[in-house]
Amino acid sequence: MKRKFLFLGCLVLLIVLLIYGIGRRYWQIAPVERQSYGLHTRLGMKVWGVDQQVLSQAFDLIAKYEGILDPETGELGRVNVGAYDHGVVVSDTLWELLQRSVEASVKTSFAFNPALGPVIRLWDINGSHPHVPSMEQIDRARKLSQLDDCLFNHQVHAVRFQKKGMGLYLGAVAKGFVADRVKEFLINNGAYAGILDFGGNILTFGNKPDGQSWTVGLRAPFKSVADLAAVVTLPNGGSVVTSGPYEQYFEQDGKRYHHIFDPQSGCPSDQPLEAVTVIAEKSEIADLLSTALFVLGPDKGKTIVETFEGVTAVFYHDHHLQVVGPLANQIQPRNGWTK
Amino acid sequence: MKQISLVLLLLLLGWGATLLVGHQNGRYAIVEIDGKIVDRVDLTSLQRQMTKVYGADANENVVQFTQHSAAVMKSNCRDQICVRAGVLKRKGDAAVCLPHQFVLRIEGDADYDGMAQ
Repeated sequence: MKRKFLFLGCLVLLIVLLIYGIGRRYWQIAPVERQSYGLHTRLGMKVWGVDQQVLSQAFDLIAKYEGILDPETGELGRVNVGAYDHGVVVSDTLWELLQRSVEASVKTSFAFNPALGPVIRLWDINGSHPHVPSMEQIDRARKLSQLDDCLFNHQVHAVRFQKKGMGLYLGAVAKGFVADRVKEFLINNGAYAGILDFGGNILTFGNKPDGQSWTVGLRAPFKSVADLAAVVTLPNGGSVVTSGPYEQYFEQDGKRYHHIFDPQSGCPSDQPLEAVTVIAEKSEIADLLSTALFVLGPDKGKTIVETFEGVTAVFYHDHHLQVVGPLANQIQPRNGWTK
Repeated sequence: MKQISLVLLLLLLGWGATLLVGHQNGRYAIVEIDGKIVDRVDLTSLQRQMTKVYGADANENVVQFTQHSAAVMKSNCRDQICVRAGVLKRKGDAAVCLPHQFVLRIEGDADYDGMAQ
């Protein structure tokens, strides 16, 4: 009799363990993961609640947005080629993003400028032979990069350039915008938690299945990959985006020229900052603000951050992190960094 | 007969338990040169084995990574201590090549979910 109970007990335990073990593997207790390339960077996703097929649809979606936002080969490229003196009607997606970009540009005193195409093209930081342009060239590109000279027809959703050679460029917002759309798509398809890594832009959503808060490491500027300046805990999820001059640059005559341009000078921003991280619910905001705040610097930047609700900014300088915003207490410095 | 079924049951139980507690955490191989981390390989997600060469000319270390391990296969250093460290499997295992200021070590899961950069 005793033995029978033991036997039964063991059997029940075994079944429970089996279900748990198999469930971990085949039901959505384990996340699905996928890495790929797109938006000119490496893209990674780890998502709970969906299958691989949904992830591949998410990558198709990214390709679709790339076809809109690429300043050369996308719909935006067609605008850049055809909008001088001619209204070009754009898709709803592009129109809405452009409108939000213009709004954000005004809010950041034009430190984020979606019309910076001529300056970016002139410097061609990622080209095969980047070099410092002449002062005349810089001046001309700067004058062609005035957002005021880009006219928006709100009735028909058309864009028109008043000067020849103008160009819209959404590189400072595209990855964030697409990440937000992908998150939306995944949630609509059953995802209940996930983390997206779009070339170092992180977006987390949902409650992490292990019951802990999401944590994101903040890379120490100019250091090798796994060196952290801090770790931030995100009790409500959200996006973490860093802009720093160490990502893309070239050197000429011993000086470094990086890819974050100050629209006022038409040159790489000369801030002594090493990087800026922005934490926001929306990746689009985190993305564009990290660029804008890097250009503005900590003093002007802080007053701008305060006009965005729920946004936290981290300014990196000389092993010190200056933090503004509601998540200030969730940031733990590491490796000799202070706060 | 009863004994056999009991043994069988215990075996199955053991297997179930390994499913439960033996859930593999992520494992990384870290490569450091001159005290700086130059590479971080996610071993768990490695599809097939991979060989990489670190350093150049007089300071070469050849490392082979598999899903479960990392090892210095070849080095042109004078003492060959790093090669003799053998196959590194467990968290904390390390192969150090002093002449080249080269370290290969195994780390467990990062204590954060993503890295913003």
